[in-house]
Amino acid sequence: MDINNCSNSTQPFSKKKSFFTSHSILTLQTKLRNSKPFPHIILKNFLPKPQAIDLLKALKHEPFELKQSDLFCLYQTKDLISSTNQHIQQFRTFLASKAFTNNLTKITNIKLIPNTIDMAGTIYIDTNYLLPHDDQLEGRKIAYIYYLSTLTKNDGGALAFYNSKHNQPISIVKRTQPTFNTLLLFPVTTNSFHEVEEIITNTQRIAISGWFHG
Amino acid sequence: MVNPIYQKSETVQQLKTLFQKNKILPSIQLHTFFTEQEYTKIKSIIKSSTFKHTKKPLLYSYSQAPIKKELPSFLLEIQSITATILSQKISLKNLQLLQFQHKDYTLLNDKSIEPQGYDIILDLTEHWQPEYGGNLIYTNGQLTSYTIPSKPNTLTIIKRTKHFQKYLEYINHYAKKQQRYILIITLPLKEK
Repeated sequence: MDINNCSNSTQPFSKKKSFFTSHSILTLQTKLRNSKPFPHIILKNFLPKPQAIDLLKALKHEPFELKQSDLFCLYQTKDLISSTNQHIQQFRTFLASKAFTNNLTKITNIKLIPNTIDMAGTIYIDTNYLLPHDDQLEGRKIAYIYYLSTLTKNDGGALAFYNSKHNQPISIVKRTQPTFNTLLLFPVTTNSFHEVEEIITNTQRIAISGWFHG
Repeated sequence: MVNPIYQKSETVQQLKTLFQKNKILPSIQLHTFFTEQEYTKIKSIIKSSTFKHTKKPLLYSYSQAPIKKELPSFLLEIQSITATILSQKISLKNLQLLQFQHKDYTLLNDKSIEPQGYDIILDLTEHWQPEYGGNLIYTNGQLTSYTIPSKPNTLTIIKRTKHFQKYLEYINHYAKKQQRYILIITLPLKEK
């Protein structure tokens, strides 16, 4: 597909129809409450497809660095606040906006400060991983991952959630395979233990992720 | 039986000097530590051990086996040489026989910090390739880290100095069914 032909996709996100309606907020509140092993929501087809494609194309032009520690091995950009690409900035502005964070607050009952999100691009290639952790760090309230590629079970790369006991992870009880143009959100708590399982094929796991702060 | 070269007093003296050479992380590796015949015996004992998988997701994932009664004779030889190199009595109290395979790892954790001390590690891994991961890494959490790749029949002695902690890097799918075996003795630093 020639993604340069997606002329509709250059409209600012703010001029698009609101993502949330009062009905969808109620639905998402219920989904969040009922999700296991800890509250999370999955928003499929989050952006109009041409915009998602533009964002993917833009992200691929950002510089990625290999990040390696005991906990992870993956490629990551610097915080995308410094990106000069219009598609990335529009996405960031949209996600960090008062309108979007207010809706997230309605869904999660977590007070958020607009325009204070962290945002980085990540690419996991064959053998890359992120081992179990809880994301807890001063100020982080809601974690988000916006997927820009699709991986099957055979590719690995699932976001795996742990159940827990006494604030310690026990075992993986839910796996979500990355799906293009899907946003996954979960409140950061003492029990939000998760990992990114190893990629085991040449399919790249591409995403934009970070945290909403409060 | 230990490789005769490591039993010569002049070799041991050289090893003592070499051990102190890296001031940041004193360490030494003794390759072909056991004679081939002895090493084959140890491997067969290790392979017949009953390993049980254990996982604390925030700390480690590996299999562990109790030390079989045949092992101590080999351990006594490790004990004797390391005691000379370190000029310290070597207790075998903190001894672990570990097996790592695909998906296994250990993690650094602020709530589980090892005090300064010595690690004496016998690598019993065969047919390991660097692309499998599973390197043993010593890091001070900043820019300095030392990687100890897997090499069979190698005894590594490391002094964990201030701020240095170790972890075993995640083993990836290229390892397939290969297994990495490590026998590790941890010792507290002797107060002077």
